[in-house]
Amino acid sequence: MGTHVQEEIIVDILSRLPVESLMRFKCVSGFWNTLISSCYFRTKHLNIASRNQNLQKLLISQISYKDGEANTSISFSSLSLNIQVVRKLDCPLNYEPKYGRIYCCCDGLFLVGLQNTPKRDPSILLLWNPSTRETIVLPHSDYSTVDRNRYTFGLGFDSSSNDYKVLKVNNEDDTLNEILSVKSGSWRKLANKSCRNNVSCLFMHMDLAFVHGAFHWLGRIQLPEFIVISFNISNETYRDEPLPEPVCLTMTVRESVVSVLKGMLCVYSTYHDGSTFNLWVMKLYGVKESWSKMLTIPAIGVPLTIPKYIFADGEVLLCCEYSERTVFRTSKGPFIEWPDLVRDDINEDSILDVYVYTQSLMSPKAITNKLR
Amino acid sequence: MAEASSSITEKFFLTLKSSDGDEFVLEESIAIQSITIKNMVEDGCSSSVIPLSKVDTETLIKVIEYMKMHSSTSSNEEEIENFDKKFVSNSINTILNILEAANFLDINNLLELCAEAVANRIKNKTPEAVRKIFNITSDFTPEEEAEIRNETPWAFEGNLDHSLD
Repeated sequence: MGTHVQEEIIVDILSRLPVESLMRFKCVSGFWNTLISSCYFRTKHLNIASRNQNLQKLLISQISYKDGEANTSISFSSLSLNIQVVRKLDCPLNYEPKYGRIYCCCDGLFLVGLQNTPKRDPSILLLWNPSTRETIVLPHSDYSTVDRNRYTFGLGFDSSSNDYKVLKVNNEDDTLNEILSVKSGSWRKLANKSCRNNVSCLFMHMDLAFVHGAFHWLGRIQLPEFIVISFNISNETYRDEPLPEPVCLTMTVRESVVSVLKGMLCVYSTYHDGSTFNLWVMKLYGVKESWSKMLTIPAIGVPLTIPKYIFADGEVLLCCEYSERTVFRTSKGPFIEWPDLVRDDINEDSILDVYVYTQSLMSPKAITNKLR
Repeated sequence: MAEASSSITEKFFLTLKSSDGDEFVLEESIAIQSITIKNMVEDGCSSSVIPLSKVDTETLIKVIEYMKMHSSTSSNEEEIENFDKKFVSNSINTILNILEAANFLDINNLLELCAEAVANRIKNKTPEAVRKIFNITSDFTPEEEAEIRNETPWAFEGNLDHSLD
């Protein structure tokens, strides 16, 4: 048995494997170990994995309370919504956080804030790859003290400096915004201001949307007019992006959010009474005329609906806050109670969030040169 | 080149010769799914027999089967899908040989299909089984191997597949 296989074919095969298999196959030989651990292979694997449905996973974070104690658990599932594994956050130094809030995910890396008290800014920021189970603690910013729930964080990759950056956005005053270069480990205050006197409209459950090398969030020029504020990760400048005409005039703050689906900027909203859910996507980035309505669900009956993923067949996975519970549905189908998550320790205060991510080999330690 | 594209009825044939010396005649329009062969045709090197010294007869037969099924005119989508499914159910060894051929002949679709198939077949296997399939002798000392295993013990848990196919 066995033929001698050329190295380039080995690379082709291995770049299609799940991360767990690759971790196991490091001990096949010195060449396989070196290859799988190399920066070249990590990037190649990520490029192929991001287009491969089998390497997309759902991560469900759940904060539940028992006897007054909070507990964060993480579940993983395939896109077919079968829970496969339930785990804890991989925290360094045996630090047991009470609250772990996931801010965002980029290239299979998650930005997580740890808090000891809910509804406050995090005391520790982690960069976590759940596929390799590797975590690092990100440096703390010197400029601002831990405050009461005033900041939102975003993670993105800057291709011009080949570095991941963390953006820290103040919900009210953008002169307080800061940025962290993950490679150098240093925070900087941002010199630029956004072009107009926009008021950012960020709420606790909202994430920054990273696409086309820029972070995006909702801004308000003056009531009732809204825009999307974008922040370019490379040249670190702000810009206004247009919203679709009907959205920018009729929406209300709480029910409208900016996000990313299939690499496109999108904005979605549900009217006050939960009557109609609308999802718009910007098909050509930066072109106002290319905004188009992708999905309308009349009489959806829930006040908050968040689109999470578009399947290959065009179906949209929706996460809905429904009578104090989080339930899922697709754009056509009925609500699905998440099968295994409905357990005893879930109560009204449980916070549930879900992310679709690509399994990747991206190594937080290698980015910060902390690898031995 | 309006004249060239209008003469669609005329068929050209190429002769491919395997490393075992067997010759196969194939329509040029089908054979040029291989970029390597396409370049030879464009460079005018295809007037006689094209020797494929790296592809044995058994593998070449499979590759030709694949190219015939995937040539644009003759097959519908469902047929192709079923064909591909059956195609990758060959033994891992056979698929690896086809992969080598697809790489040499530069047939991207075939390369992707087979690489994906091998990845699917080996993803739950033990390192020992993978070594045998790829004919690799470990160059680690037992201590070095233990150290790598200890870095990610979770990757070695569960029901791993020891089989060689």
